[in-house]
Amino acid sequence: MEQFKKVTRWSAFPSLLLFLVFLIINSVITGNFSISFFESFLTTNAAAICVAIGVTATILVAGTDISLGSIVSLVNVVIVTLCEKGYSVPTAALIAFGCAVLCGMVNGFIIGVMRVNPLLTTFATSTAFGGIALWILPYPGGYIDYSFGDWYLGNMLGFIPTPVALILILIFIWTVFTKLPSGLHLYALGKDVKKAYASGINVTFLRFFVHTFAGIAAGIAGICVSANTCAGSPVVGASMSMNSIAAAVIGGVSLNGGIGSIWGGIFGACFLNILILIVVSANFSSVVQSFIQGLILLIGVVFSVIAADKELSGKLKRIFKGGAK
Amino acid sequence: MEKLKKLNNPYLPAIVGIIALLILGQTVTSGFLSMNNISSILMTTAILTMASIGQAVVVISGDSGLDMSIGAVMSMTALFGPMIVLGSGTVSLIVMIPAVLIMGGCVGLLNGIGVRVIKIVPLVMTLIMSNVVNGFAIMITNGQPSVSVSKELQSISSVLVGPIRYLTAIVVILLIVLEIYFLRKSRYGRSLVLVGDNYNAAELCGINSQRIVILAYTFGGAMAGLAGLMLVGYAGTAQMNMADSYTMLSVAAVVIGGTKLTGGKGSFIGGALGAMVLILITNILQALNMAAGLRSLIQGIILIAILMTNSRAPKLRQ
Repeated sequence: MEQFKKVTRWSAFPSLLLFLVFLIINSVITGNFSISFFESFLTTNAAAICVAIGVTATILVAGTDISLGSIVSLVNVVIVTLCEKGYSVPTAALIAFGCAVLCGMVNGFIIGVMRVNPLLTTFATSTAFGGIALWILPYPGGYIDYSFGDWYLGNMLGFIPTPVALILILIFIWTVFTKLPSGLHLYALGKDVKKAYASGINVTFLRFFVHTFAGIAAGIAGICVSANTCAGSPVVGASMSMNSIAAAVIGGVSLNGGIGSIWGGIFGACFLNILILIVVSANFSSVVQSFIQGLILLIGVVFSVIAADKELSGKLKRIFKGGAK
Repeated sequence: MEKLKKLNNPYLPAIVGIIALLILGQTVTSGFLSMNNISSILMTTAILTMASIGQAVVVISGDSGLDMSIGAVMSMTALFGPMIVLGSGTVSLIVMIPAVLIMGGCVGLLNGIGVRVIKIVPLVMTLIMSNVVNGFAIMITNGQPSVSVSKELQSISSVLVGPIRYLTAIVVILLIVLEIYFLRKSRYGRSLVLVGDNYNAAELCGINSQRIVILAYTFGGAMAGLAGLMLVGYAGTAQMNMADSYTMLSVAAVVIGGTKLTGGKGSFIGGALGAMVLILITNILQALNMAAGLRSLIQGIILIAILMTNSRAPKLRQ
């Protein structure tokens, strides 16, 4: 019982529950529930999950990052252009990944060292990064050698599917960082900047690190997208930034900082994408789809916010117990 | 020295920016300062100013208030507004204005309830609302907008009053009236600033803070609705998501105009000046005939530069 309570109190629990419920709904509707379905689900949505991890990291220190989608587009465009110029695929991917890390560091520098509001900074940098992507490749097009796609669909180390391995690398970096004293500092910074600073925490470095990590996450996401589509588009990541923030909130990550974990972001992103899958497969007419997606997203966020709000959920509980005041 | 101090007001960066950009524009392309070009710049500025007034009210209401649904509301009213056709064109134009105000106000009301009653962070609430609104617009129009903009609606942006266009004049008058009689002098405006500054203190003073904030979001939505109608009158055609870029432009305009994102401080006129800076930047870059990508790269860099000089947070060590 104690164990059970501990699990239900976990900040990522509501999103995990939502994900599982909708996974079951999906399998009932499509009659398709197997390991291979799960694998293909991860293959298509690895990018969204990576971006959600990156955004969650920045939200934990009471910031945000809405430039990750543009970085994903940039990585995709760079890989395609370099491949067409005759570079081998691994070199192109590594250079593009380096660009993404650099973009993250630019964000981190402006937010950490120059102390500019994260939302505005990343809006400005997203215009700039998106602009570079559009400048390099004005129209969707180009193609990447299919060996890249084969690598992505294959296994790493013999048994782990590549997308899963890529996500695991991100989770590993983050877990190591949070297990060190720096993890405690990170949550302290998210809760209260001034107190954290007064306790001798290096605020500048932490902000810089978090945005660099977000850049790394966006770089990996960009590689996933490119390998999955094997084509280039300057706006491939456009919708990712906003969706990932919604995913983090559904995952119980507080936008005021200091509450939540990256698992919340991961499950939130999984839930969102399975939702999209259901709406697509439920044969709604295409014009209604985006409205329904929006509505369910709204309901999901309302649900997870109410679940996290003790005062409000206490009130609701009392109402359901016979209206006794 | 006293005079210098007086000059150091929140509008200063925006005014300096406008003058510098005007000079730059004239040196880059001759004819930039021609009356025709100026009046078309003022026209687009007027639309962004309307949006930034809505944004400013929400930002002033505090608690990291932001309205990310402004672009979506503008796109929606741009699509739905011209659909109203009654008798003559003038009558339908008169009906359109309250209709778009109500449409935008409804979205804003939902935003306000989500933010204040359910306590969803404004950024997320309004972001999701923009998804819902966009989806709604697609559903109603079946994804194929076929909007014919009436002559009367188009005329608001083309008929001249003296040297400037009709709509610009209206917006300038509206701006000054709202600034003085709504934000500065009215009971609501003063409560709004107080609530934005300190929510709990305002509550203790006997102000119904919750109602004030919800009304702020409603007003913001209504202003966005009106801006959408202006946009479609100016553009002459309506498309899906045509006003999406206005969301972040309005935020940037408000910030350049000296409104603090933490709330409790700000003005509409500052937002208008900020809007002018942004429109001038876009206009100069367009006049140079640059590729779209390079243009947005330069826009981004200029924006970062403005942010780094204008809105750095104070040092933590005090």
